[in-house]
Formats: sequence, structure tokens, C-alpha cells
Amino acid sequence: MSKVSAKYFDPETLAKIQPLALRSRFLLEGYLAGLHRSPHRGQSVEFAEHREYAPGDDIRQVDWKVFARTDKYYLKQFEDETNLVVVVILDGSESMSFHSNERGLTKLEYAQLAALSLAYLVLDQRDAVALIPMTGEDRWLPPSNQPQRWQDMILMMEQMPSRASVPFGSMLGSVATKLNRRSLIVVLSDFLDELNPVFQSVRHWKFDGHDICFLQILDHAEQEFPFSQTTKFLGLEGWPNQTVDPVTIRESYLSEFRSHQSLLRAFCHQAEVDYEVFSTERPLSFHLPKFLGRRRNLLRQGRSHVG
Amino acid sequence: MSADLLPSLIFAVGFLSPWMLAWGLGIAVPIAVHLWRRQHRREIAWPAMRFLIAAIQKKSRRTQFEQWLLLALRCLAILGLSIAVAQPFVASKTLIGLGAGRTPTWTVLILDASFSMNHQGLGTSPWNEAQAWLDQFFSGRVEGDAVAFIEMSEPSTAIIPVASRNIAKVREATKNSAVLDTTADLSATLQLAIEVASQSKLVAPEDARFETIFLSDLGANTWSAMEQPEVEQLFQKLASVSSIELIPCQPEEFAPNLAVMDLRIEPSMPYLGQSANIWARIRNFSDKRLNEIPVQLLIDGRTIISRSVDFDIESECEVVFDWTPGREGNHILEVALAPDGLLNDNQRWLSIDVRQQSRILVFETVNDSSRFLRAALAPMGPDDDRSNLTVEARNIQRWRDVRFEDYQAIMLCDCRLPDNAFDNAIRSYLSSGGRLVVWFGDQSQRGEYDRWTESADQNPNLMPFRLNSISVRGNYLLDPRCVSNLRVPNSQLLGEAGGSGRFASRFLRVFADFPEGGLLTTPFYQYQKIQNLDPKRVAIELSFENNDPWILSSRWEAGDILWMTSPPTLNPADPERSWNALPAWPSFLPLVQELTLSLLESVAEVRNIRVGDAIEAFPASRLLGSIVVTRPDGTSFETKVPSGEDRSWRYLDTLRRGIYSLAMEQGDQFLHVAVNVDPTESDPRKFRSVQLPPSLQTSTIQGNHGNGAPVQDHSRWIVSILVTVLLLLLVETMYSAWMRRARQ
Repeated sequence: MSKVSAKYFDPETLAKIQPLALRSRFLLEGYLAGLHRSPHRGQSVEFAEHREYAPGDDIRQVDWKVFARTDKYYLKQFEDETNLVVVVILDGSESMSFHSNERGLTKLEYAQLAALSLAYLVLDQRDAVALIPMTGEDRWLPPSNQPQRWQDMILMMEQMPSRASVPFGSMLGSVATKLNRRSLIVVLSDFLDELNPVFQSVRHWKFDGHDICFLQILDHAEQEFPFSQTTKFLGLEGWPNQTVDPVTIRESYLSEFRSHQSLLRAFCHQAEVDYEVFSTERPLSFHLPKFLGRRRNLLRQGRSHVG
Repeated sequence: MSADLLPSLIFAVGFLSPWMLAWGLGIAVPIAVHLWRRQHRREIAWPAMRFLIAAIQKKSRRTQFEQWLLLALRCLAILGLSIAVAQPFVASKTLIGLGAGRTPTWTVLILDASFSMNHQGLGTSPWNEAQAWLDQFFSGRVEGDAVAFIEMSEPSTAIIPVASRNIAKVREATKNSAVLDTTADLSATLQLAIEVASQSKLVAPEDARFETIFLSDLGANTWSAMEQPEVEQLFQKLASVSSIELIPCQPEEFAPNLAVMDLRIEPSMPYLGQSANIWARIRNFSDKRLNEIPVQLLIDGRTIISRSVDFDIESECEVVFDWTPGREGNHILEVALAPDGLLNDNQRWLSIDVRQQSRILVFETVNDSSRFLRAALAPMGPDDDRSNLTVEARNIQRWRDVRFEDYQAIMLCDCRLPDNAFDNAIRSYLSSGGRLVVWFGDQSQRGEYDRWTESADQNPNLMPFRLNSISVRGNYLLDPRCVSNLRVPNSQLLGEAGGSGRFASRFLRVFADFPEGGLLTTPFYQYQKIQNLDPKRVAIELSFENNDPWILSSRWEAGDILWMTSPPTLNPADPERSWNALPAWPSFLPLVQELTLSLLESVAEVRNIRVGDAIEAFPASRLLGSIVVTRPDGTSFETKVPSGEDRSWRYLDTLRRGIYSLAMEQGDQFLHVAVNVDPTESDPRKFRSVQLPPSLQTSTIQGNHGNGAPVQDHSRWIVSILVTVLLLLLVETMYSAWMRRARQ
């Protein structure tokens, strides 16, 4: 088993996630373990309600017993329990290869670990998982609720290049064509690129009825800018190099960074997108349970999103 | 103040300790740290470059300005500190000149080139200090200024005799100037400076300001001449045509210096196989005891003896080496010391001739009249092998039978002169370095000897006086106090006891320690009176009580001549007719021996001269072609042998110590001349500027290192600079603290 795989199977991380369930904010058309109730009335065994027949309805759904008692045509509707489809979109742009602590995980590695942890939970409750790595290549794993899917994801992640030079936002536009069911889209990215393309994609997904989660993976250095000596910052994804005394520009940098974060947070609030920041300096076992717990509470409270 | 005056103001600043400016290189530290921080930076791939670039665009200019400001403050603080420890002063006169408006300054620069300027101090020497000052001086010259340049030595030389506006040329001349092995002649330098200033004034614009600047280590041996009224007058005369500034060039502390003050050999003309003592007088001029100092004796460049000698504080000792010559001919003796603070006085050379014997030819007119003289010259008989002198007597009429060149000295013992051919032969003999003693007596004919006075050509007369009458018969006694020597002051001639038996004349010095020798009691009855004495060419070695001379000395070309106005003859048959009782007197033998030896030794004097003295040679007629002088540095100078009657030849470029070899055209070396420094220049004592005339003290001294000179108030400058440095450091501290707070 490779080093990366070992990280994915971190027993401590998975053990902490195990008792928690991932719930969709909306009633999806799943029924697995009663956790995911779908608004679709389908071929399930659990009765939901009756409604009057209308031309065009499937006559196989006419409740003949009711017709016998009432002489009216009513359709017998069942709550269709189907698998939740969780689409994991993983940012593979060059900026995700950053880690300020040489002994720590890169943002990509951290995101992969988070994605696998979520996938594990989803698959464990018989839901389907799809993986779309944003690497500039057209390779992805379509939704599947087979346990093997988890192994497939690991394999793909291990082969995933982490130096995509194409900006993450511009790659998201192609995702919509891959989604033919309403899904829970979990986007794992640092969201440090231009946000407008991201916002456009999100609006498109929302229009298609998808639920969206933004998990922003950030390094501690990006958030605190803790450098003290003159440093040559090497630009990624086409940005030029800059040599500066970090102490002198820290305040200004943080101001710019916070402004960016505020913009992202405001958009998520407005678009009802779940938004959570995962800091790579903290273990995933800190962020994931916290995130999942908050989602469960929100579902119970009937709130639509975490803002 | 206009902008064009600013450079003059800046470069009017000098430094008493300019080497301390090296601390200014300390500004390299903050600059290096600054660059190091830029160069040795951390590199990191940065994903959030968007925000970084935005931040840089906002902050970068201000931040860079703050960084540069801090760097400038730190550099200024270090520079200020280095300037303060270099003890700056401002050339007040320059400032006065600036204050009065822009007038061209014409300067007579006088640079002391005596060898004491080479005395090493703490990392520098007076010469280096002078050169550093000159650099600043020339940098401060502006258009319209002119500079003349005099090298103060002995003799002083006007390198740029009229002030030149071509500052680069003068600067080059000062750069090319070097410390010589000479002393410095203040009096002659002042005369030269007056002349140069006067000449320069003729071509200077009317509004030009004249200044004379001395750069000197203020050696007491040079500047004590200021106490002489005539020198002070010259100074005042110079001050009347030019303002005078004196720049003392004195390092903080001088390194210890030992000097070979004197080198002599006894006997001064050693003979083959006979032991001789070589005396080296060495002085420790430092206030430190110096132990185990190696002193070496070198003969012809080879180390013969090496000794380790201890020297007490500021003491003098004589080191004696025993040496037995094993080869005839010319030898170079050298005593050398280990290198010390002043290298120029660590060696001394002596050029000597070693002979197997000296041959003396005695001419007489009356046969056997010279027997007493011959007996005194060879007291053990003419065949005595132990004697170094071989004496032969000839009747002067048979002078053609002998070759004069075969004899080291010729004596005319109460002789008539044969003919003109004899005169010419004597001249030729003397011109090639011969020695002649003429004893006048009743045989000496005035008319004949007048030939030696009346010279047909322009040559100096062989005899620089005329014979007068013979004195009346009487009793005459010698008195050394009555020497009317016009060449040497009586005070020097007579010695400490004022004539109580001490004889300063080199021919008579044996009697100084031998008062009972009887010289002064020798009875004289008659003597040859002389007249028309040429005081510039003749020295009276000993006189009678009536001031009439008995012994006179003169030179003719390379030859030395002694003139004795009363002969060493005695008429035993009729003592009353004798001119004196000299041959019967106990002083006779030592007198004759000493006269002869001194005369022979004078050969060595020609070969041992002081730096700056001329090398004189009188090539004999047989020497034709050219003379090649090989200097101590190995360079050669070729010159033609003078033709015609005047065969005197002089070589003046002896400003470097060492051995000068003279060779004929064919390359046969025939003379080695030892040129030694004047040891008085080794004395590190400095002339205290308080001893300068009051009018010069108050206005001329720029500053000094604690030698009593009126120090200009440069301490005020130092304090001001130090306060500025403190303020800079304070500002830097507050500013960097403010910057840190602002970042947080």
C-alpha cells in the first residue's frame, strides 16, 4: 500500500467519522435507511399519499381499491427511496500542491483524504459517489454505490496530477454535463482563483437543483502569512515571482485575503451553498466530524444551508 | 554659499588620524546585512499570489523607502563614528578664503623628504600621512589655483619651481617624490621657498592668495634651526610674501629604532695581515630596552661576524669587531642591524684600502738634509720589515728617475723647485689622489714657488698663498688657540678645554691625549711667512702665538697637501742657524708619523662621504673615455672624463645611501665610495612647535599629537560629529521601533 493510501485509511480519522451520518439538506430521492427521503414518488414500497388521476399518468399507479370504494381514480404514490449521489469535485490545480509545513499534507492530499472519508461514509450507507478530479483531463468516476468505488477513487486520486495549470474556476463549467441526477456536489478546493467562474458554475448547478457544499482547503500560512524574513514567493499558475519582506506587507496581504474570503462567504450565503474552511494544520478528524455534525443539526432545524 | 564652493569646503577638511577612516568600511556591515537578507532569502511556491501582489502594490514603495531610510541612517552613523575617530580638522585658512569670496589660491608645497619621514608608527609613517594629506589637498584644488612643489632635503629641490595651474602635474610630482636618505636643510629650503613664491607671484593674478605649506615630521635636528636668528628672519621674510601653514606629520607612536651612528676602523688604513678593530657606534633611540639584537659585520657583502647585543633605553654602545685583512685592495666594510622602525639608518658602510706597505718619497735639495725626517718616518731603519712605511730619499734634481704614481706620499724637505716639468708632474700626481708635504726652509725660493701660485690657466693655484719673507730670528712657540682658521670656527677647532692641549686638527689629534708630548714647547726660531692666503682653499692646522701659521692644509683636485712653514732640518754644526729644534724634540717623531698617517688616511675620506655630498674623482691623464657610476640600486650613469687641464670630476646624485662604484670605460672598477646617512636624522625627538616664533605658532599650526603644538579646536568637530552619530542612532532606534509597531 502506498504512502498516500495509508493516509487515506487513517483509522483514527475513519473511526471518528463512523458514528456520524451524512445527510442531505434537502429531501433527495433516496430512501436508504430512511435517511434520504426523496421528493420523487417512485417505485418504492413505502406509501406516501394519493392524488387524483390526471391524463398522462401511469395507469399502473392507479389505486384500484380506492377506485372500488370511491369510484374515483386516484393514483397511489410511494416515496421513492433511492441512493444519494454525492459528486466529489476535487481541485487539482497547481495551487493545491502547496504546504507550508514540509512534514504536513499538501492541500491536495488533505482534500483527497477528506473526499475519501466522505465517500466512505456515503458508500457505507449505500449511496452513490462520483469523483470528478479537476486536472484538465476528462477522466472521472461516474456515480456508483458499489464498495469497489472507494478503491477506484483511491486509484484515481493516486494517479491524479496535482499541477493543473488551468484555473479551477474555468474547469467547473464542464461539470454540469456530467450530472444527470440531482446530486450533492461537494467541491474541495482552496478557492484562491478568480471567483466569478466558480460563482457562474454554482448558479448553474443550483438551477439544476443540486445541493452544493464548498469545502475550502487552506494552509495555515495562507491564512496567517507568518513569514518574517525576506522571501522569494514563486508564483503558481502563471503568477510572477515576488521577493518581499513579508513583515512589511503582512497586514496588507491579510486584508486582501480576508476580503476574498468575505466575498466567497457572502456568495455562499446568498446562493445557499454550504461553506466550510478546512485548515490543513488541523487534523481531518477535527474538521470532518464538526462539519458533518453541523450539517445534521441544520437538517434537524430545517435550515437550508450553513452560511 | 554657492554650489561651486561646496567641494572646496568639503575637501578643506583634513584628518589627524586618517587611517581611522578605515572604520568607515564598517558601513559594509549594514549594507552586507541588507544585501544578505535580500540574497539569502527563503524561496517558497506561493498559491495566494493574487493577494500578495495586491498587497505589494499597496505597500511596496513605502516599505522600500523605509528600508532604505533605515539603511542610510545606519550607514551614516557608522561613517560619522569613523570620521570622529579620525579626528577631523578644517583648514581654517581655506575657510577664511572661502568666506572672503572665491579667490585663486597659489600654494608653495614643501614636503620634507628627509629619511626620518620613513619612521614607522602605528601602521603608518609621517611620509604616508603627508601623502594622504596631499591627496585631500589636491582634491580640494579648484580652477584658478596653482601649486609649486619643493622637496625639502639636503639639498632641497624645487621640483615645480613656479606655481603651476596644472594640478595633475604637481600631484604626479608629489606622487613620484620619495623619501631620500638625506637630512633636511631648513635654511636653504626657506630661501628656496622665498624664491619660488617670488617667481610665482610674477605670473600670479593680482587677487591670488599665496600660502606656503610645510609637511614635515618636525624632526628636532631640522627644525631646531628655527632658533637661529637668520633662519627666523628667513621665515619672517617668507611670511611677508605668503601665509605659512605647518602640517605636522607624526604618527601616534613610533616603532623602536636603532641606528648605526658611526663606523670606523683602527688603524684607519689597515695593512695586510695586521689586525684591525672595527668600531660600530650604535644608538637605541627608543624608550624600550631591546635585547638580543643581531649586529652583523659584512666584508665585501659577506657576513663575517654576527653578534647579539642588548641595548638599554635611549643608550649608545660601541660594538667592536676584530678583523685581519687577508687581501690587498679596496674593501667594503658594512655593519648592519636587524630591520626596525626606521630602515634608513640600519646600515653603515666603510670603504677602505688594504695595503701591504705605504711608500714615501722624500725629495731634498741638500743631500741628506732630510735624514731627520726619514728617521722619523722609519725610526727602526729603512729595512725594518715591521714598519708599514717605506721611505726613499732623492735629490730633487733627479726627480725624473722615479714614477710618482708608485708612492703614496711625496715630501719636499726644504727643496728648491727644479722646473716647470716638475710642477706638471706634481700636479698630475695630485690630481690622481697623491699626497704632498712641503716643508719650507732656507732652500725654498720664493720666486720658484710663485710658479705654484701664478697659474697660467683657469685652474686653481696649486699653492693657495704666496711666500713672504722669512721671519726674523726669535723664539716662537706654537699655540693651538691662535689658529685663525677661516674654514672651521675656532670653537670647533679648539675643543672643550679651549686649547689646553686638546687639538682638533686631524693631523694633530694624537697630541690631544698626549699633552706631555712637547709639541707646544718646541722651540722655533725662524719660519717662512706667508701672504695672500686664500681662506676658502686653505686651512690653518696650527699657528704660532703670533697667529702666523706653521701647518697649513689644502687640496688640489684629488690630492691633499700639507704646507709646513718651518722645516724638519737641523744643522748640528751650527744649531743657531737652524730654524727650529724640532728634530731634537720629543714631539717630532709622533708629529711626523701622525701627519703622514693622517695624510694617507685622507684617501679613505674621499671614499667615505655623507649622503648628498659629491663624489669627487680626478682621473689621471692616463684615464680616458668615460666613467660609469653604478648606484646602490644597480642603475648606472655614464659620463665622459673631463678633458683638458681641468680633470676634476664630480658626481652629485648621491641622495641614496650605499656603495657607489666608479668604473672606467673598460669596466675595471677603480673606486668604491661608501655613502652613509647623517645619523642626526635618526633622532626621533621632535621640535616642539611652542619653540616656533609666536607669530607663526598662532596662525600656522594646524594641529598636532600632543607635542605641545597649539592644537586647533578640532575636538569641537569630533564632539559635534559624535553628537550627530548619537542622534542618528536614536532616530534609527525610534524609527525602527515605530515601524515594528506599525506592522503589528
